[in-house]
Amino acid sequence: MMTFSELQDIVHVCTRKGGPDFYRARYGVQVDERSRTTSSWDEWHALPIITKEDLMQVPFSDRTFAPWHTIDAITASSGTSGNPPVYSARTLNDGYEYRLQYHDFRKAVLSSMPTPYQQDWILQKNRERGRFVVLDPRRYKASVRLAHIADADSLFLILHHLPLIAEEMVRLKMNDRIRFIEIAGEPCSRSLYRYMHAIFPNAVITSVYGSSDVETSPMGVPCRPLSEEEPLEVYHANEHVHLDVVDTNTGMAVPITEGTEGDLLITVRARPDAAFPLIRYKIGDTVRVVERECKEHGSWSFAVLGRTQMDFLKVPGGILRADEVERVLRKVNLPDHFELCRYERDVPDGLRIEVVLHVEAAPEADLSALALSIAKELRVSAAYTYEHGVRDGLYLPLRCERMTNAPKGRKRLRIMQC
Amino acid sequence: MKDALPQELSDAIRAAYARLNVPGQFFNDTTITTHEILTELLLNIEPRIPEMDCCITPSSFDPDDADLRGFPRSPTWRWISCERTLRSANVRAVMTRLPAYWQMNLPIHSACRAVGIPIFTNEPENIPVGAMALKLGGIDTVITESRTVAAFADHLIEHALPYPKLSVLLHRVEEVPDVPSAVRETWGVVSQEILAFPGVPVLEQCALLAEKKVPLFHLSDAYFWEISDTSSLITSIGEDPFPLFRYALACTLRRTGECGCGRAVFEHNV
Repeated sequence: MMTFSELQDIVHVCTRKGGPDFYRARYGVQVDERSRTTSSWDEWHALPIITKEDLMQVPFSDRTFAPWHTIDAITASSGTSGNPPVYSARTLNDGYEYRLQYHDFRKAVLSSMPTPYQQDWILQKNRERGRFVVLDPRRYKASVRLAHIADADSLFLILHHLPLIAEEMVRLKMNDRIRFIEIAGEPCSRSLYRYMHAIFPNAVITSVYGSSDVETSPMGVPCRPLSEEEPLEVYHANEHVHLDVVDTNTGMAVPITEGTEGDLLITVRARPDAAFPLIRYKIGDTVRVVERECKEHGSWSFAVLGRTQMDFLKVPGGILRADEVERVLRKVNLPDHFELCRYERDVPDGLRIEVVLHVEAAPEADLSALALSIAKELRVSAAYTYEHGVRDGLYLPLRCERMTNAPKGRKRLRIMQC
Repeated sequence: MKDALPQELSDAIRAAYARLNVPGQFFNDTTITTHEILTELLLNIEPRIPEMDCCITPSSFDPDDADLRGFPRSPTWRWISCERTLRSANVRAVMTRLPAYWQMNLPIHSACRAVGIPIFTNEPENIPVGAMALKLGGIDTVITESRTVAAFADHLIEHALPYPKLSVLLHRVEEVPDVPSAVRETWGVVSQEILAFPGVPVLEQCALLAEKKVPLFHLSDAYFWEISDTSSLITSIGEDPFPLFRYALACTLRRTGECGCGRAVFEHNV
């Protein structure tokens, strides 16, 4: 966690005259003002919150603080929410040292992280003899085959890639040799954790909280490996990161006490080589404070409850998008109000996705027939429907239920991982 | 063009194979390594790969190939021709649109670092995000393969998005090196290369050939070449963890003349 002095420094650095205008414009810094200073926590909390929309308004090359030749990689948000992707720059960075307490990385790693070269870099930095095999999720059998040849004993995985990988590793009888698994990308359900633990009995399984928008991702590193302990995934801030929690409706800071919930704001330390330090960036996730002071790491810990406004869910083979569900419902002459729940079901031949769609159907409507029609139309990628996924063994058949039977939460979300 | 393979090169590879316990049946001075023999060789050395200081690339373009093996490459291997192309064109940022299982993003990243430009990785199937990167992501260069480039080029035309200033277009050795018309007519410089299999570039272009967008190539300096009317054999020259010995490419080559850059020019035939 960053100190207040480091937070003051980041505001000063990012609002200096002569640098990119991004923060000066948003903070209303006057033309003759050299930089903005923050002298108290109240002033810090009063700084405007930066959102994804703010990032989208300015081409990333116009908000890049580092010299261009030092930029290592450009990343993009997935572009799956229906909005244009947000592109971000990052210089070579670190922040992966926490892994070394769980694994020695002397053997190969199979990685589905979008920027594997950065993980490769950190392994080299730590003078470990690790090697990388990059996972191609669409041609995963070839990647797993290479990982088998390379004698990989650890995995960095986007969570929804895991079931396919697991089955292929069982087929190649290499699941028992896996000693470490780091998952990311979305919250892990208890059933999926148990499935992983059963398939990979010798692996320490951890989870990280990261984002392609954030240069020093992951922002949240594991307080402990996943276990039967509740909650399943608990994080604390990575060393380059400061986290605030604000009320979802008012944007006001909420006190960090056990059980507090709110929207997470991310601030990333302004190192001299940072491409774009984020200050009070609303990542779009709701969190709950687990411990005010984690016994292991000192700082407060949190669990991610989910997207504040979730309009999409990643699934093997593509994305379930709210606007696509709306389109299909209109096509089958139903109101486009719905709630979609995605479950992971442990069936005899592995873990499968099941989608239950709660719709406003007439009492006499045949829900089974309706589900078949919707599955046939519902696209998860450009030329791939839910029905194709059922045919290919990725999903269980879609089920429809009437809206009145939908699970009730405190907030009405359209798409949920249940 | 069929100079005899230098004895010292042959000896060096014999010694390398001996260190890997490759059975003698796979190596004599008249050996021609077909892809089937290479597959057997790779299967033979597979148990030793975890102990080798190497990265691995797939031995086949087909991800479902039952004979897919791991081909060891040095972890410090540099894709020199790609690096040279990027350096010559003063580009700003590179997008790679190659299938991830080819395991080529790490060498591309190294080439980008050597030139001082950032890399952006885009799945070939995710055309919208890749295409938008040319407009919003500061990308002006694309590394892609000929099988997927036409759909990407059509998308750029359809959505009136910017065209790449430079592209590195990769062909599979067993295919005719075609540049789709949408690419030929709208994109900037197209530097074409031919791969024997993923991670093993064998034919390349200089800036002059790339400018013309023609299917003519120079031979990679990484190999000793034995070219006849019926075969094209390559033998590794460098310090590869697993050197190729008289590996038969799935093509023939015909010398057509000399390039303005001073190197011999070859036409690729399948």
